[in-house]
Amino acid sequence: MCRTHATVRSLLGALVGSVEELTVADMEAGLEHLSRGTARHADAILAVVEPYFKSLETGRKAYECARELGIPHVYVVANKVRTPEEQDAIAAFCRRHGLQLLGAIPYDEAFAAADREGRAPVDVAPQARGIAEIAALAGRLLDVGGNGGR
Amino acid sequence: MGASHRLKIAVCGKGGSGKTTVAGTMARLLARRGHRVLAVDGDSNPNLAITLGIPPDEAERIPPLPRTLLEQRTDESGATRTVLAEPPEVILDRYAVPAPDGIRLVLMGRVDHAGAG
Repeated sequence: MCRTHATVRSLLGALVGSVEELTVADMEAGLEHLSRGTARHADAILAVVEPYFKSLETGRKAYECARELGIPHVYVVANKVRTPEEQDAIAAFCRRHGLQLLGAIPYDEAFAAADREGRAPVDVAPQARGIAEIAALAGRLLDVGGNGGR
Repeated sequence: MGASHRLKIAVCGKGGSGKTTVAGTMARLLARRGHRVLAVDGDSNPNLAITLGIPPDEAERIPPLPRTLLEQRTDESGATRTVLAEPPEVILDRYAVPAPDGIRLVLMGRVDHAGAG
């Protein structure tokens, strides 16, 4: 475990100025990697939350850890949002705790179908609403995160 | 297009939150916009490859980065730090695997239960 964390940390750090422009890292589930600083070389951290209390609380803790690490761009991304009420509740939670919400991805059966088939959601259902929202999130991230490099 | 962007995005969340779906789908969409994207699976239970569109039987065979890529170095002050044994470009050329839309993927490593901790 320790070595896994150390490798991610070293690699993310060393990739500064490397060939790829964009790095997208899927981090270890939970918060341990944040408290150890694995993600400290990231420019942006997305804390993915579902619309229920425990998930939101975990997201809030991840968000606060990331801010403490000095990550320039930290956002909450709501996922599997089924109703406008759920979206409102997440937005209210974020406002209450001073968290920036980058966007809300609707619950999308296409994602579950892709999971079952062992395929990429973008290949199974390129027109899905969930895909469109992730595309919008990506655009927003490039707008805010890319400015520093211009 | 977008050549001025240089951004490292880390996606985190509880297990089951859909963080891998978000990370993998975002990587594909960014690559389709013409960006060069490196995908990093930092989860010890890796499944980013499948979300990126690598067939499951191929995904299973992707080797994780070997632990020998890390070296402990002690500087003049006596502090020990962990550094990469080789330049990142060399490591990526050797260990990154291709994924759809020109993405390159590296796996940080599965938990070795026998030797974990």
